[in-house]
Formats: sequence, structure tokens, C-alpha cells
Amino acid sequence: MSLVEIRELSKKYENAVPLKKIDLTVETGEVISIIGPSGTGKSTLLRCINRLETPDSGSIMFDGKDICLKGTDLTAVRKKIGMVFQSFNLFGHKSIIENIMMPQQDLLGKTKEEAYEEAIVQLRRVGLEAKADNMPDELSGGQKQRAAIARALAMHPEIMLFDEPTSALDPTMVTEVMNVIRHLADDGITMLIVTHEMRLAKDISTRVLYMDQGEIYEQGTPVEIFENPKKELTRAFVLKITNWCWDTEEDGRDFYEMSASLEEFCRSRFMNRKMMNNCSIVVEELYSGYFQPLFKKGDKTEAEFIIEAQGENEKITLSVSYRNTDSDPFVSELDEISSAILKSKTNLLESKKKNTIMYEIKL
Amino acid sequence: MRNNILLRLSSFLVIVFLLFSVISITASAASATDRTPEESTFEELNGKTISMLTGAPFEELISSKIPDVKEFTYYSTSSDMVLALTSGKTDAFLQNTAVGELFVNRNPSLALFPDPLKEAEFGIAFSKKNKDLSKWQAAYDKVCAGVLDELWSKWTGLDESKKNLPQQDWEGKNGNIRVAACDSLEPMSYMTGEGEMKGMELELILMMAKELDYKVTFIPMEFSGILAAVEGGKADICCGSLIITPERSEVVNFIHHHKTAFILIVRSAAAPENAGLFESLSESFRRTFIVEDRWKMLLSGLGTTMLISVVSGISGLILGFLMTLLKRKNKRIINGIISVYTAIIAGLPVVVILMLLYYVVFAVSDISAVLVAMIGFTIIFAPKAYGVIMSAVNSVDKGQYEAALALGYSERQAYFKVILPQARKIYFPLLRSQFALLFKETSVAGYIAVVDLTRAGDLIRGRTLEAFFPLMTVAIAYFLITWLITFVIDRIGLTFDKKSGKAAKK
Repeated sequence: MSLVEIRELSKKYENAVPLKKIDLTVETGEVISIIGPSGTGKSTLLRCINRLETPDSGSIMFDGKDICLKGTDLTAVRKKIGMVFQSFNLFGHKSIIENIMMPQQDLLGKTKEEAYEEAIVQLRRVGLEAKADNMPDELSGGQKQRAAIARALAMHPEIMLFDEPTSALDPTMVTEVMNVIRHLADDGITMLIVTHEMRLAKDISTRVLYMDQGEIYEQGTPVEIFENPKKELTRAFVLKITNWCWDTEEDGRDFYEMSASLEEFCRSRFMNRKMMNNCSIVVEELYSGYFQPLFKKGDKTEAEFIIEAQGENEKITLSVSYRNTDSDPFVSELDEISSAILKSKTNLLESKKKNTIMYEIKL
Repeated sequence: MRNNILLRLSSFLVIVFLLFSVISITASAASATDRTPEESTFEELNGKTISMLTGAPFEELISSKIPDVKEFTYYSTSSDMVLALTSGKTDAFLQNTAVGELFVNRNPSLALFPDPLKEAEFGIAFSKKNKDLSKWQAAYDKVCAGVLDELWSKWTGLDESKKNLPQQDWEGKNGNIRVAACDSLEPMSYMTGEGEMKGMELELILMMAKELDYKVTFIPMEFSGILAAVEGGKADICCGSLIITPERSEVVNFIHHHKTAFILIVRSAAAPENAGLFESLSESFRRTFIVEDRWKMLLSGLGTTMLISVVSGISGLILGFLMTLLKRKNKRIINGIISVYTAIIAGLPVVVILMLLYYVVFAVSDISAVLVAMIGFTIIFAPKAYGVIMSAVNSVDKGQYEAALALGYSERQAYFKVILPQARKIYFPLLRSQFALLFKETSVAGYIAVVDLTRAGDLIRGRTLEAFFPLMTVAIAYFLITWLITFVIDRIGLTFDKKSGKAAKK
């Protein structure tokens, strides 16, 4: 028997994309990542599973019982389903250890001593033993999220639901939480993870669901989804994750906006400081050297910058192309400093496309 | 830090208190050597300020005699007018001869203006429903009519020792009769410092009752309430220097007793002679606190104020909390009732709510005014407590609630174990200040015949004709108690904090 069996689950919203007849089976021990653009029902699906949302139709079998039926004892169901929220939601009036002890005492009928021991075990698991007596406000975001994970684990749930567990965290804290989740995967805990963190999805999932427009658009192993997506939207989504693209016609000619967007991309790829600097310096020199003079003249030229990153800090290529013009911007000479910079930061690659030059950015 | 500020504030208040006592006493001390009025013809009153009780319809009458009155001013009690007259805020005030003679006898700096403005007659008012009026009239004619002038000079005179009412030592075979008596209209009907009702009209009523063999219960209340009490059936008879007018005769039946007149009271022309500062201070203190054991009245007033505010504070809190629980059910009818109730209370002045309860809602029942005040302030405080708790609960992040549900808490458990404890740091200080406010708001309970701290001060003021000591005492009492309440509630809050803090450290 599967742990969770979702059949034709639908839920409508007034101002949002509805869930359309979702079918999903989760086996014990599976680690499933749910990825996809914002607002496509990923979180809603997750919240239906522990009935924080009430579906309009369909069924969810959990432990062999349909938990969408009226009269289901939701508190009993929820005790077996752990949930970790984007905003941690530790109880602000209780210390960390109390946060973990309280539900065990109140809901599992454990004595104070039992609850305390369990809490210490779980805190050790997420590396927060030392913070047991602190109040939630005294912890960093990453620590709060780890404590929230420990609180859910202490209930010994049959499945853990993670609703964007790293989205509210500073980039520096994402990794600590990710590593904790990684360990849980190693321990064989069944997990459903809604995430924007592709590294996490890629590394630990046994299965990745790509959701778009309220349905599970494509699913498969991480390799299938990230390296060989079959369907168009999945491909576009994955491409967007690995590639940065700026088209002056679509995205505008605001240079500062462009460099901010590039920086965000570099961060999301976990590039180190040096790589990030190299990328932006190179793009800046090319933009101001070749295209800005044309834009100033009122030329109709449009340019497109694409950065493609393979793996983390592995190989980064930049291609720059132009269109809508008779003159070739690349014939204009860069000034001495600019060309010196380019030389030191890049290797020129041979371009297969017309009107395009390609560089490999040095690591 | 905070205590320091409070200490400084209270010492500041005490200094102000002493300073004012010096000023007020030096200003009002005078001796009674000559009783010639400052003004003795109507012409002399031209260009002067003339005062009367709020609502008294005599402007036209006065203007016909004194064409050039500078200004008419209105006061709610006679004692206030005496204070205004002696301190120079006004130059004459209008009263009936009973009050006038008493005040002039008592206060050497006052004198009666020689010409009365208008003749009138006092009456004791009986409910129109009372079928036995003729019996009472007969009793009056038999026992009262003959001794009327004797009683008049007894009650308007200076000899306080004679002003006693007969004991009700008769059997009372015909039952009990309730008399709504004004508590501040000396000499006809008033309350002494010991909280005892006295007055000439009360004596008349007792004499008639003895003749007819009724027991009498006096219900002290403000003048504005006595006619309403008879009309509404809360009392059978009312008295309090009622002048017989055609308008009043439509509502009640009168037994006429003493003739009176409206007369102006002016300052005496005698040169004021300053008594020693210390003597007048101690005399004033003596009159405010020692005479008739008036301090007891203040103390019992304070007790009443505390009782009303504590009881209605607690029951209002409970009611308000129940409302928040009902609101959580989110039923349309309940929500509707709650918002109508809150809107009504929010839209009505406290005094109006109290009077509605006392004179309309509980008009026929015999519950005491203090209880009505408690009920009134309970229903006034409940929506405030409700609003405070609701907004505190709403300010707790929704995620807390979801997290509790996701762990397996029921909605009820989540509310009590997760949401309410976290709302506490918001609602607690707000409730504390609301409670301090409630304590001060109870000062209007005097409107429904409750002798609370404020009313006790008023009554003493009415008897001593001095504003300073009674008002300052009342002010300082309110200030200190408010401070004490805040302090005690803070302590309670700290105990809570310690408890939950201890639990945190296993």
C-alpha cells in the first residue's frame, strides 16, 4: 500500500490558478521535490495533504483512509504528517526546547522527561543542542528553520512536508538548512519538498515533479527533469535556471537593472565572489563598448546577452548577439583598457551563429 | 525609574494642594459683624453677573426688574453658587428662601437681597397612581400644618444639634412607603456626612407617616432623578425643595406646605476680616473631615468606587472574553449581535447608559443602585475588553495558528495554548490602562444615586460650602488608587512572566 495516494484532487481559487485533477502517489522512503514557477499550486497541493486547505473534490488516501471525507479526525491525521513552513512559525512565547516538548506532551501524552529526551535527540540531529534554552527571537533564520524541523521530527511523522523551507532565508543560511534536509533524506525519511532551490531538488530527490498551471506537467528522476526535459514548459523552466538572458528589446536598456538581474542569477547559481565579479565586468565592458554608442546615436540595434552556467563554478560561457542593424557593432574598436580587461577575464570562443561572439569566462 | 516619576508627581500634587488651601482660605475668611447686603436695590444690580441653578427659568423675570444684567451664569448646585459668590465669580444668585435663609445664617459673608422676586410654594410630590392622597392631606392638616413655622426656623437655623428626625418607632401596619429624596438640598432634604438623610420635608413626611402608620424608606438621589423615580414607580413620594408649578402638577400630585419665594443672595457689605491662616486652614480641614465624621463618608465612597470598578472590571473582562470566544465560531447571528452591542455601547455616553439602566430597564425592580452601576459598567467595559483581546489575537501571526494545527492541535487548543499566550504581551498593558480608565469613569455613578468617591466629595462640598479640601482629597484619592491599580496589575503580569519563564528552564 502506498503511503499517500492522491486522486483527481481539485481546488478552485477566486484569484489564483486552480489545482486541476492532480494524481500523485507517494511511497514510503521517497523524496519528492516539487518545482515550478510561482503561483502554480505547489504549496496548495502540499497544504491539501495535511488538510490546511480543503480540496473541492478528489480524494487523498493516507494510511489507507480517505482524509478528504467529512468527519475525518484531522488532528489525528496531522500528528502523523510533519510540516515545515517557509516562515518557520516557531511559537514565540516558548523557548526552543519547549517548542519541541510542548506538542509531544500535549498531543502524544508524553511525560516531561520523555519529551525532553526526545527534544534533545532531535536538536542534536539538526545541530542546535546549544540553543535549547534560547527563545526563537534570539536565533538566526537558518537556526529557526532547523529548530522547526526538529519540532516536526519529534512527533515521528510518517511523512514530512516542506513548504519552501529556504525561501525566507538569507543566501548564507540556505546551505545549513539544505544540509539538514539532505541528512534527513539519507536517514530515509519520506519527504515532499516544494522548493525553488534547484540544487536541493537535483541532489536529494528520488523524483522531481514539475508543476505548471495547476497540474503536474512533467515528472521524473532529477536527471530526466534537469538534463533531459521532454516537454516544452519544463525545458524553458530548466533553461531559465541554468541560463541568464538579457534582451535589450524585451528587458529594456537600463544597464543598472541588467547588472542587478545578472547578480541575482549568479547568486542563485552559488557562484563565488570572483566569478560573479568576472561575469558582471565582462558584460559591462561589452555593453558599454559595443552597444551603448549605438544606442546613443538612436540606432535600432537590439542586443542579447546570454550566460550559460554548467554546474556550479564549472564552465561559464557568454554569448552576445545583435540584430536589426546593417552595421556590425563588433567592428568598432574597444578602448585599450576595455580590451585589456576582456583579455584577462575571458577566452574568445569560436561562434557558430551569425552576428554573435562567444566567450568563456575564466574561472 | 517609573516609581521616581510617580513620587515626584504626587509630591507636586501635595504642594499644589497646600498652596491652593492658603489662597482659597485667605480669600474666603470673613466675619459676620454686619449683615447689610452689598447691593440693596435692583438698580445697584445693573451691570452685575447673576447666577442660578442650571435650567431655572428666571431669566425673563430677573431682566424685567434688572434690565441691564451683565451675564447670567448657571451652576449645578447651590454650594457651587456660594463658592462663586464668595470668590467674586458672580455677584448674586437666585434661590428659594429656605436655602437662602440657611446659607445666610451659616455664612457671614452672605446677605439676602431685600425684595423677593417671586412668591412660590413648596410641595411634597405623590405619585398620580396613589389613591390615598386625601388621607395624606388630612394627616398633613392634622399634624403638620400647626408646626410649620417652628420646623422652618429649626431647619434653616444654625443649631445643628436640633436638626434630628423622629425615630420610626411606630409599627407600620399599613406597609412601607418609598420616598425618593434629594440628597443635596439643605435644608429640605439632604444627606449628612454620616450618610444619614435629614431635612424639613423628611420630617413632615415622617409625621404624616406616623399618623397613617406607614414605615418610610428614604432613597437618596440627585434632584434630577426624584420626579422620574416617582413617575417610573421606583418611589411613591418624592421631596427635595420642589416648588409647585403647573407643569409638575401634571405629573405628580402635591401636598402644599410652606410658602417660599425666589430671592437673590448677595455678598454681605461687611468688610472681610482675615482670620489666622492656620486657624482657617484647620477649621476648614475640620469641617471637611471631622465634623459629622465626614471622613467616613469619603472612605465609604472610596469603598463603593473600588467595589464597583473591581467587580465590573472583572465581570466585564469575563463577558468580553466570552464574546471573543463566541466571535471565533463565526456565526452570522452571533457576529451581528456582537457588533450591534459594541456599536451601541460605543455610541452612548456612560452617564446615559447608567441612567437608562436605572430609570428605564430596572425601573420597576428593586435592585440597589450600586448593583445597577456594576451591571452598567460591566456592559460598558465588556466591549472594550473584547476589542482589546480581539486586536491582540489578530496581531499574532497567522502562521502560528497554522503551525499549531499542522502539529495536530485542535483549533481550540491552538487558540488557548499558542495564540492567547502570545497575544498577552499586547492585550495585557492595554487592558491595564482600560481598567484604570474604568476606575475613573465610575465617577459618574453619582447620577444614579450611588454615593461613590466623587459624589461623597460633592455632598461634603455642599455642606461645607468649600470646594478646596473635598475636591483635592477626591483628586488625590483617584490619583493614588489609579497608580496603585496600575502597580498591582503590573505585578500580576510579572508573576505570569516569571511562571512561564521558569517553565522555560527545565
